[in-house]
Amino acid sequence: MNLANMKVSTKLYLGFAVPVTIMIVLSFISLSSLGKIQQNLDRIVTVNNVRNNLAYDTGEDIRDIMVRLRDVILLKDDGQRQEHKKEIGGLREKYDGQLKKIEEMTSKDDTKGHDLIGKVRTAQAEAKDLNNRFLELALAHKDGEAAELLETKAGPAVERVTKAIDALAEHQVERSKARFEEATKAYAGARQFSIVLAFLATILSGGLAFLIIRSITGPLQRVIAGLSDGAEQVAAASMQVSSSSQQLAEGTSEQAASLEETSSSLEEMSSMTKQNADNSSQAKAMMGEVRKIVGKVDGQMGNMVKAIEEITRSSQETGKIIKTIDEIAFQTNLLALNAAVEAARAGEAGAGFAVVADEVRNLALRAADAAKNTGNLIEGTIKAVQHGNELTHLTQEAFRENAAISVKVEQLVDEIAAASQEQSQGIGQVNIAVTEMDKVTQQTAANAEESAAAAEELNAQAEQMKSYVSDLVRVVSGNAQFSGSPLPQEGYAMARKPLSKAGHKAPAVPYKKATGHSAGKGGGAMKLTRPDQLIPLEAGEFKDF
Amino acid sequence: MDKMAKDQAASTPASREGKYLTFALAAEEYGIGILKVKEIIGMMAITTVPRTPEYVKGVINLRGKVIPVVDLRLKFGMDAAGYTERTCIIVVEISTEQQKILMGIVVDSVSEVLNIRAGEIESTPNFGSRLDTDYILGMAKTHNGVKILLDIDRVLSREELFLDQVA
Repeated sequence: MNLANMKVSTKLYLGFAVPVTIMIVLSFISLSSLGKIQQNLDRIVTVNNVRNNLAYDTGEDIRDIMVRLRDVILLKDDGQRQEHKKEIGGLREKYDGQLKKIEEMTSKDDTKGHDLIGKVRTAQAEAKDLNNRFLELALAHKDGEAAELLETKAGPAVERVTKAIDALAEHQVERSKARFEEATKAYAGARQFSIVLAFLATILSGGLAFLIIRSITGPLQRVIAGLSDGAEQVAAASMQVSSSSQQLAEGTSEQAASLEETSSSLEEMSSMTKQNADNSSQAKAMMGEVRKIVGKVDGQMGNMVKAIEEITRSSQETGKIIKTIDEIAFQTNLLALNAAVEAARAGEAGAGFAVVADEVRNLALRAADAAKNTGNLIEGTIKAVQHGNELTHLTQEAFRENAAISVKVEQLVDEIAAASQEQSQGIGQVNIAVTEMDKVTQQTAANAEESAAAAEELNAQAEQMKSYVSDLVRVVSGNAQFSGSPLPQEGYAMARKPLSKAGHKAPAVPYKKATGHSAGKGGGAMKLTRPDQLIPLEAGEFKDF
Repeated sequence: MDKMAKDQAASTPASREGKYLTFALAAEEYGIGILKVKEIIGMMAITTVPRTPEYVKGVINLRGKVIPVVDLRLKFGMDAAGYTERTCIIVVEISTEQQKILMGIVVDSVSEVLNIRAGEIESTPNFGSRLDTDYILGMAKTHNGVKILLDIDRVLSREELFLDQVA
């Protein structure tokens, strides 16, 4: 029976049950004792005393009968004697009835009583008998015999009856005494028992009450203290939650703004990437064309090279022809010289011939000259053509390099296009992520709002709890002296202490009204609704977003 | 002996006047009297003859005639040059005491026939006693340079004659 682990109702039941039980027991005992006493008293009064009286009456009746009997003798009148006999008969009826009653009233286990009654009856029967004889004698006017009978037999018989009745009466008295003693015993026993029980009850109840009270009020006090502390801490925590919700709301709004910026710059980036992709695809197309052109150019270059080669060949052939002409001129020159020699040998006769030879030589020289010039020209042409060929080759090389480079460029452009594509995809994904982030931010804002509301509720509940606690205190301690009064200001003043270690924005601002300096944005009083005020604005922005 | 007579015959400027066939050899222009020139032909195949001096290139077949050919460059001690299309063989007729023999000289190129007057001819300067310049008739001053007039007889006569004699 560990008191501490029982329910309060159980304890109280116990606390009441014990005395009540004891009281019941006591009452029961008392009542039973009283009942017994009353029973005895009743018995004594209704039975014993009545029996006594009856016995006494019977005795009286017997004496009356005796008297009457005597009177009968004494009286001379028959009528009177008859009257007396009637009276005696009546009396006999009376005491018969009384005896019967006595017998009836005597309990079955009172053997002595029954015995005595039996004795009385026998004695009475005897006496009656004798008395009847007497009466007969008396009525028969045998007074002397009657008197003698009366004196010798009836009288003693009656005396015996009287004695039996007296014994019966005594027995009754004894019975009454016995009953009285019983009652007294009962009373004494009950008294003792009651005293002891009362003492026990007092001690037990007192101790139990003490224990129970302690076991109830102790935990209660602790609970009160705990609740009170808890309520304060809850209030403090709810303030913290509220302030952090505010911070969260602000941070979320900032985040939303930056998300919007991010989104807009993402869009720009996306459009630029798209442009990039377009440009790169255009560039690729152009590179393709360039490649085609370069291919064409290459083909043309090849053609040109071939043409140049042809030119070179024909130039060379022309050169050969020129050479032939030159040789011819040379030979002609030689011929002319030979002619001049012959003319010189011929002397005078060959003078004209010498002139002819000279002219021929001139012609030959001219031809040679022309041939030489032509040859020079042709050489020049050939050189130029060679130069052109070289240039063509160089150009071809350059175009080939160009082609190679353009192939590389095309590859690069391809890569750029692919990268642009990927970039575009990445931007799309980032966009999605930003949208999600925005959703999350919105949700966070909503959550912050909810948190602020919850904190407010929490605060209200804490206040409620504090009032309950004070009620409890009043119930337990009888007054409202306890730390943590239900006043909001004080409560918040108390709650402010743990908050002083809060984050960068000192939330040392009262919730309900601005007392003193209010820290925070804008210098204005931070109201409870500020987060709510904040968030709808942001929510509107969110919608636009 | 005859050399002296020839010397005397050649030494007078007036006798050196006349037409000369000029030709180029190395960087110089030379001239030979036109009467000495038989024929000018372009370069043709030369048949090498063994056991001949270096400057004797060989022989050629000119319309049935076999004519020895001398490279004048090598004769003069110049470096041999490659034969171009302008290289010619001048067939000269040199006269010795006994006979007139035809010889071909390989020259770089043949220029023209010039009529050189006496006033344009200068006598050969004396380069010193060791140098024998009797094979040079003189220096002709023409409008396009100085041409060395050769006495072709003297140029070709010495060892060839010796060769001839040996042959």
